[in-house]
Amino acid sequence: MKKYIYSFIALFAAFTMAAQGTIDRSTAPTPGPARTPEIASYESFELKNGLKVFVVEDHKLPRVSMSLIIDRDPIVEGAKAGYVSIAGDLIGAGTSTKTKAQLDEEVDFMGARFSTSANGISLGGLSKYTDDLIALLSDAVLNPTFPEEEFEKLKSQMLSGLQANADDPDAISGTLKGSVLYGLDHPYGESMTEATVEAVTLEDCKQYFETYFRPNVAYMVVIGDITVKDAKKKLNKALKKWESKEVPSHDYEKTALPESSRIVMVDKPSAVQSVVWLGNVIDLPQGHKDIEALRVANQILGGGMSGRLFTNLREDKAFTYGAYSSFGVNELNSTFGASAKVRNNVTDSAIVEFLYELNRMRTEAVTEEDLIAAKASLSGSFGRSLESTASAATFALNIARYGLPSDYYNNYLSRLEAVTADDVMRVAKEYMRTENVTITVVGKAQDVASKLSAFGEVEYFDKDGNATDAPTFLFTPEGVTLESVLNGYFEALGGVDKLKALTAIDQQASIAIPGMPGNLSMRTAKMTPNKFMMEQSMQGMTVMKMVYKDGKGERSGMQGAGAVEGDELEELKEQAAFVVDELAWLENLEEFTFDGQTLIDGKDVYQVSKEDKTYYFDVATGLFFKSTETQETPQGEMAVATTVREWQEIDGVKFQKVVEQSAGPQAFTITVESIKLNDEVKGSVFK
Amino acid sequence: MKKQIMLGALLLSGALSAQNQIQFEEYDLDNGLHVILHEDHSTPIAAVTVLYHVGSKNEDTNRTGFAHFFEHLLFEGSENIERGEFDSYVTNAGGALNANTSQDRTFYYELLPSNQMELGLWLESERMLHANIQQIGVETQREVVKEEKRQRVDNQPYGSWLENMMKRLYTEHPYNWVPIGSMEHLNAAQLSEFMDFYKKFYVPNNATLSIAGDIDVEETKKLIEAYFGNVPRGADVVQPTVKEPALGAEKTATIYDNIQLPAIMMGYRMPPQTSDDAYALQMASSVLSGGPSSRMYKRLVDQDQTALQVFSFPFSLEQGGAFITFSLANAGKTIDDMVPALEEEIANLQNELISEREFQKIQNQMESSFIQSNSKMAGIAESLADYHTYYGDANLINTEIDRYRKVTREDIQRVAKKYLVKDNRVVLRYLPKSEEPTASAE
Repeated sequence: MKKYIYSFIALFAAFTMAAQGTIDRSTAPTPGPARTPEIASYESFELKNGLKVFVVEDHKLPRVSMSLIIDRDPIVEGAKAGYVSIAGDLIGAGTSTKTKAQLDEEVDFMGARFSTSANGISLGGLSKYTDDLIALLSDAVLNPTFPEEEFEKLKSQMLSGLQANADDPDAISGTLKGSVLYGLDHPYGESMTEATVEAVTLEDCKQYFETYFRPNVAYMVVIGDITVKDAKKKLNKALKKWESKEVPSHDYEKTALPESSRIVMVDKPSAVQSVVWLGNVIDLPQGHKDIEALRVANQILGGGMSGRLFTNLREDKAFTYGAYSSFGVNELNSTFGASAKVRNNVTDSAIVEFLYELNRMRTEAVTEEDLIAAKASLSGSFGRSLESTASAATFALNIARYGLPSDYYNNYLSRLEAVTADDVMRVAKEYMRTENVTITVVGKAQDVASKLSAFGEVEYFDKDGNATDAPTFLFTPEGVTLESVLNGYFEALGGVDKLKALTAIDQQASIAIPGMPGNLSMRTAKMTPNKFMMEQSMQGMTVMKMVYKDGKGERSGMQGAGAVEGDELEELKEQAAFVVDELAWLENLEEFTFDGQTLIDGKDVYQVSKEDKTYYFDVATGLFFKSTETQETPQGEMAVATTVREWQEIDGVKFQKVVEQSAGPQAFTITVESIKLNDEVKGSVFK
Repeated sequence: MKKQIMLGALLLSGALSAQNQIQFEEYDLDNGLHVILHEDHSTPIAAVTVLYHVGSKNEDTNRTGFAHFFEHLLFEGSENIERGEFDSYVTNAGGALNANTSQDRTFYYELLPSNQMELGLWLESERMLHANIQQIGVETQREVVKEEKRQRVDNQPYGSWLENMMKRLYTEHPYNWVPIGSMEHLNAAQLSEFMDFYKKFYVPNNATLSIAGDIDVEETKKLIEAYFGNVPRGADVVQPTVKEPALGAEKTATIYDNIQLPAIMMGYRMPPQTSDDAYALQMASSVLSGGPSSRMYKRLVDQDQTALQVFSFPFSLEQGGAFITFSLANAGKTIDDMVPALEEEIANLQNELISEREFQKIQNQMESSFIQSNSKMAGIAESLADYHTYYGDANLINTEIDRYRKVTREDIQRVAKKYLVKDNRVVLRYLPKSEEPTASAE
């Protein structure tokens, strides 16, 4: 029997205890010499059918636990996502000798536990029932009947479970993370939906069991009040009929990081907290040389109540009840990530702090003090884990499964001790991303989304991990009216008086159309109350020109010349009335309605509508941000949107500088290059 | 929530019970601090725990949430421990720590490598002797606690059920509110009120220091005297004596929550956890929902398939509590689809004795769970402190099974008839918000 002992690294010099009665309260007491905890010993053997068994004897309590673990590659379940899980439950739902009710009764009567899953079977109870437990195990492995009735029941339970998860922010966050990091067609990214569960058949489940539940890919762990000899004898007898068969393997490409950072969100309108996660895929298989250094880095960043995230986000800022980070170790891929649940209105601030702390880990060496503390904490936690003999079993299993050196866990503490501050920074740079980081948020978009656009364009997903449109929602903010929105707008422009005082304008703009070469420009001029001119030209040649003067309109250019009449003339007349068109609104306010506040392009806006045209005003600045309308064209109805991207100020009045316009699939950008005002505008322009 | 419901000793073979016996020593310091020590050298760790006999039931009606808030505040530091350093000492020593607050107690623990046990004594004695209660800590923890409530209650489907249950089940008694309490009360509280609360409840004569693990008892006793001996005794703490009038009639309420699946919770008033009847109710609960072969599970989940999940449990408290049944509807099923079966299973318990086999089964379940409990030092230290505080008998850790064994089939029928009746219950119907009538008052 191998006996594994590791030497505990005493981090502080050992002194004898302070003399009693004369304690010094001002400093922490000095620890005595550390005792060496032991990793419990195990033995292993293999049955003829290939089942590898590990036994850890522990006779302290008269109990025994057994786990059968199926070690297969991850599976893409695709359009039938959910079948693997249902198959797992079905294994224990009836055998050729017992119905589910009989199995349940038998297990409960022993006060035992018994559960099956796609990855194995777990059971345990008092050691006086060891034979009965092993019989149960063998019955489930050798004689499952997959009853139709139980299958239907499990399926409906799974569908109910999906509904329950639909409102669980943690469940939504998990699905979002998987689908965004790995994609919906990856075993770690695909998600169950009502449709995929409905598609599962009983045959799928039987097939899964037939294919994967084979002793040659299985491990068995036995812990407790049983001798190795007994375990060997009993298991051999019980499971020798379990036939081995080649099990298919599945290979997957390693998942790459996104090219740039992403911010993704699931809108949960009822949320009062945002579930925030930031992280990235990592490639860190078992036994990798960076594991210990990353453990130390993670401990310092977000390993617990002393971690930087907890200290910053909870103890300093009080944004959250807790903020932590963690990472996984896996053959294919796993993730590193940091997370917290924070109240809605600090969601963006929390992300800023997360990024700040991640960045610190990547760019500043941790102090010797941090390093020592993190190592101490990790060694302590390792020592505590040994209180349970199950740890020894897990170690033995990992060594076998992942081909680790047999002394891998015995040397864990010395590897940990060898980690330097440089190592910590190096692994932080590699595994804790700030450039290719994915930020996921499950929360109330109405409250948080506009501020999230600071981290990039927010991508929206539904609860099943499918990309979706940005949510539209409209609510009435307190104390806001049509008048206050429009007044706010005019105030932001410079005030009604200043706007009305403008008498003339002449502005030159360039127009950029994606994919179209050449130099397009547009000149617009006005002189109140009755002169207007607009000229569009390409490479200096006039394409079209319109002039309105003293009640008459004229058109000229490549498409011919002639008088402008009717509605078109009315429009020109209106244009000429004010230098700032919108002043005309003040004369017919009753035509407008205030719809409420909403979110457009990640910006909080007030929505105002007039007939079929909708205007959006930026809540933060009061300025006009966007308008949308539907126009009749020869090709049918077309959505036209105008968005102001930049403003400029001249003599205390704001003018649009960069405007984007889209009409159906066509989009172009207008950039105003020069503006002349009042006296600078010459009357000759309107000839 | 299922507290140490199945703890207990048991009369198995002599060999077994000897193996299971938890040896401990207990005594009082002059200042009234009760000390319990259990020595076990299997692993070089030690659990240092302090239980203060103060929970939400000791709060003023207009200052609810204080006890739990204190749990947060008392990590802020002390005269000799800088703000925010409490945790670092433990973590840096390779230990772990935390705390929790219930209706009846506030419990702090450090799990340390055994050579660092003295650190736990230093920290806990600092906490008891001169904790640092300052405005900045109060301000910060106020916000943290609000986040805790958002996380655990407001943003959690069905998260508000216990609060909704208790406020209807108890009207006079402080079990009316739950430990998280009222955020308005916490906002309104002044620093001086926090100081007063500390002086009143955080006194050695209201505390139990329970240590389990790789310790030398004699050495530990000397250290305890050195660290805790000079903490001044406080005034006697008087536990509330509010007499709650009988509920008298069933109360029902409909709560519209952010959920998809309807759920129904029925809560029945319970006798104090120390009473014989509480043990009988525990056994009754096993009959109803202890495992997949139990009556309610088998009926609602397996046969009728009206419920996705159903369970019952006695939420036992020092001065009462609630016997809860909780059933979550399957998709497409309604509360009314589940109710008849739930009522019937309760009625069956009242009308007929449970079968001999069922009785044997629940006894086996108690036995199994008792034997397998107490495998870890942290759990042992906590159980010893609980048994001492609530029952005045720490040795129940070895003998509590006797109390379960005393329960007869007739007792189970009797308590079902006495407590699990409509006049003694509150029914909460949780429905999706989408079903809320527009002018709902709830």
